[in-house]
Amino acid sequence: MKKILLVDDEPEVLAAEAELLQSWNYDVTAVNSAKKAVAALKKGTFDLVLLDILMPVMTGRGLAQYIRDNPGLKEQKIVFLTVVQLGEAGKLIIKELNPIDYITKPFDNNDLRKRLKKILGG
Amino acid sequence: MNMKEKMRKNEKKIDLEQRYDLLHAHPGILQVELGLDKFPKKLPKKLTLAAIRRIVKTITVVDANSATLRAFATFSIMELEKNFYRLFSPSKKTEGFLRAIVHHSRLFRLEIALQSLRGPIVHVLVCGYRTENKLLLIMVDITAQKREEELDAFDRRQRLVLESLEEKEAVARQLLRIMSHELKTPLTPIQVRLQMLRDGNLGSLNKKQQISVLSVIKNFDRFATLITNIVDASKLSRGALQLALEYEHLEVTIQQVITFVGPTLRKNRIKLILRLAKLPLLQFDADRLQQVFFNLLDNALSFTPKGGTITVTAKKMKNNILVCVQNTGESLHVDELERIFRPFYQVVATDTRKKGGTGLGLAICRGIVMQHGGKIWAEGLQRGGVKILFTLPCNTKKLRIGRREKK
Repeated sequence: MKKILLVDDEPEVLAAEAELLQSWNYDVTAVNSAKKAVAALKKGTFDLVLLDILMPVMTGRGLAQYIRDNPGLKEQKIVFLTVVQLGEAGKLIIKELNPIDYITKPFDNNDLRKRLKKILGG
Repeated sequence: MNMKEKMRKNEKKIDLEQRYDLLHAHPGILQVELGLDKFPKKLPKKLTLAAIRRIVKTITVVDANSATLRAFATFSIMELEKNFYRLFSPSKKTEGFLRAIVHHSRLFRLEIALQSLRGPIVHVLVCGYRTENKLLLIMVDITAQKREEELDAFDRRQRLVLESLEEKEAVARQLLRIMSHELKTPLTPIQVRLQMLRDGNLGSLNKKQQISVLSVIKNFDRFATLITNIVDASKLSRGALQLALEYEHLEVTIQQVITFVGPTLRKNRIKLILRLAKLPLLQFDADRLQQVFFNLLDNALSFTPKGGTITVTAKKMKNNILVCVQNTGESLHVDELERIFRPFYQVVATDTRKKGGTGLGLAICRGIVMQHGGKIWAEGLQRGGVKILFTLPCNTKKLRIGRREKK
């Protein structure tokens, strides 16, 4: 079972997304802050980090930066989830963080499923 | 010419300049004596202007300067003497002032507005006092100062209005920024769960439940589009929409949208004719242009009768790509051709299969196309139907890119 770390500060969004991913038989760890995500990353490994960009205190970008700066997590796969459509500058900044994909919310469930399958296989 | 003579000549010159200044910069003054035969022992009970006129026997201008005639808009001092009372409109203020002079033998001063003989109001500072047999009035034209004061006050008011407007705009901008996030956030969990219900992730539904969920999804989609449109329109209106430009094939973008509208086309037996020429690689925001195409096609679909035709063409014209979405059906009135691009404008169609919409679709199209450096316009077709055309420049180096959205 592929393991996904899901990070989103909005509890309703987090719960819905977690249930969706679980219904597709992913092993989901859902956390509502970047800080908790860091803790989770220290404890275990994940096949994918699914990350909201706009979060208070430490943003998704900050968390992604932390992951990229951490030698042990260099190969960590990241997918951004964002509620704002990214402009050119935003895309450039995010590109530096080398995510595999970014998905604009609200997304189509089947579209997300296809993309996850492509990234995680199976 | 010796030194003394030279100096005298210079002095003369200065004198002339000073007189010129006097004429133009110095205020007009007017000193008037209102002669009374003898100060009446018994004053009329109500000292109105008319009553004062009755006790005044002579009016003599005793002093004036070069600016007086201009200030009071008169041809001569004689004329001014003759028509002296015309300056005073019988107002409480002037009457009260004259009454005060008549009653008390001391100096009074007042700023009043007088009606010059032919022309504008003249603001004067009047000093007046009474002796045994005359009233003496000295007036100084203060119109220029008054006007400056008024302008200052106007400036201040204007500044205040501007400041409050800026403040309001900042609040509105903040509100929209919050709204665009807060309004869009709940859409995600709703959509996720609705689609989970529909797709059976939460167990299979019976027929009735399925129909119900599909209806909720349809309405939710409409609602989500509405919110997205409002947020986009507001971003476009304040120049905050940022394009993500990349080199892409426009034909591919068009094809992607067409697959979206396929079911609606089949349902209404609408024929789609696609004439896409081979286009060069273009720099544009694919998501945003998809939105433009979707809006244009959606719009065309709403106004094409069953069995009608929609034609989409794209070709290169000089330095531009010209794209055209054309549909059969009713034509638009000439006035409407421009108006349809305004926010919240909605065409009232006689055959409205599809009602609703925000009236923002075409406004958003225009915003996006313009931000790409292109133009968009509509043409009515004589044989019926509407044609909406837009251009995209092939060279997009000089593009205006919107301000970065700050969070």
